Amino acid sequence: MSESSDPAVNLSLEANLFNCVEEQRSLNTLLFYVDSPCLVRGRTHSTSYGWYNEALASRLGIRVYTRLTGGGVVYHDEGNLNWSFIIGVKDSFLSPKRVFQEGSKYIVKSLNKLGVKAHYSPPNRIDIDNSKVSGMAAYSTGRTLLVHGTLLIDTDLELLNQLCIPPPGCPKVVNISEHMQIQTSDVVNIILNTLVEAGFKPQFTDGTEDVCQPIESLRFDQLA
Amino acid sequence: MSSSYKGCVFPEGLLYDLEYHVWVKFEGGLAVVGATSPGQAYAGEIIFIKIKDKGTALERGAIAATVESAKYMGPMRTPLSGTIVDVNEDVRNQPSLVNQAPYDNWVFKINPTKLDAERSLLLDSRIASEKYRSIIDEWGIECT
Repeated sequence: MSESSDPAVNLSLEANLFNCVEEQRSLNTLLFYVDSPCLVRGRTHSTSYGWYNEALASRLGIRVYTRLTGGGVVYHDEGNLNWSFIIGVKDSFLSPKRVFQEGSKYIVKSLNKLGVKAHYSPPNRIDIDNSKVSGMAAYSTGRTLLVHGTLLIDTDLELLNQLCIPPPGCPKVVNISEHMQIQTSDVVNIILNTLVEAGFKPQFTDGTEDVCQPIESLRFDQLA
Repeated sequence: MSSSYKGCVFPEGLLYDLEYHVWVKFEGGLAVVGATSPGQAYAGEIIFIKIKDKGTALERGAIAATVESAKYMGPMRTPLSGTIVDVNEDVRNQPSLVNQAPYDNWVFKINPTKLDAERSLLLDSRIASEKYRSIIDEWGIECT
């Protein structure tokens, strides 16, 4: 769990952890982070992905950051939990559907254990009923895969809907808190428990100066 | 003439790399490289492609381009070691050309430096078509 709420720090941390796994200086990694209010965009600006209200973002002083992965623009605030799986992969040729179906598996399972009827919705969403609670994006070198996503726990949806211009066909967004009272830490804990029950062996480190062992990052010595 | 399976075609006259899912043809000593029919079908609609610059030296298997589809950015690898000498600007500007006509739209051209050693890794149309059947079945795709 990153201790920082600075989006620049968290995105840099994520990118550096990716390099660590890629260079085999680190085990597979799961990173959680929560950002202060910001917009985060993918590397490509495509009408397929929607965009954001540039004038409003500027007026409100909402900064825009670019991440490693594809996809459109998402709004982050303290009510959103970001999760990132960074893993070595043997199969260098992956389809988006497989990436996101596998990438969302433990998140969906965790939400279901909480009693929330979440499900993977192709190509890259997690929905509760017909509403979106998580969007995912991914990046791979063929040797290392980063799959990450948002998780709307108690986000300012009014502001999100004003800032983000969704792509065609995108369902409305919903917070998990609309279904149950829950804290971010509860969600992190249930995800960790789900992974442990699935047979993973997390190594929780308090970190060193080496970016490959960042403060409070979680590493796994095996990932299916 | 070409071989085909579930709508995925493999024109004769091209060579195929089934590890990186690209096709190759040789023109005047250069290798012209593009995506195979099943490869583009498995990737889905390509909305962005970033190709390495001309002059970039690559070993076989290195990333020659990054392809984005459905919010996933993945690698396109070179089947041959060499130096990139040309990139297809039409494909860079309109990546969906690779989906529409994968064999008519090459992605990059490479001046191969280890052809003697690496050419044997490429398969002709008939063998590629046979070997691709199990891959196409595993992926659960059909090519349009």
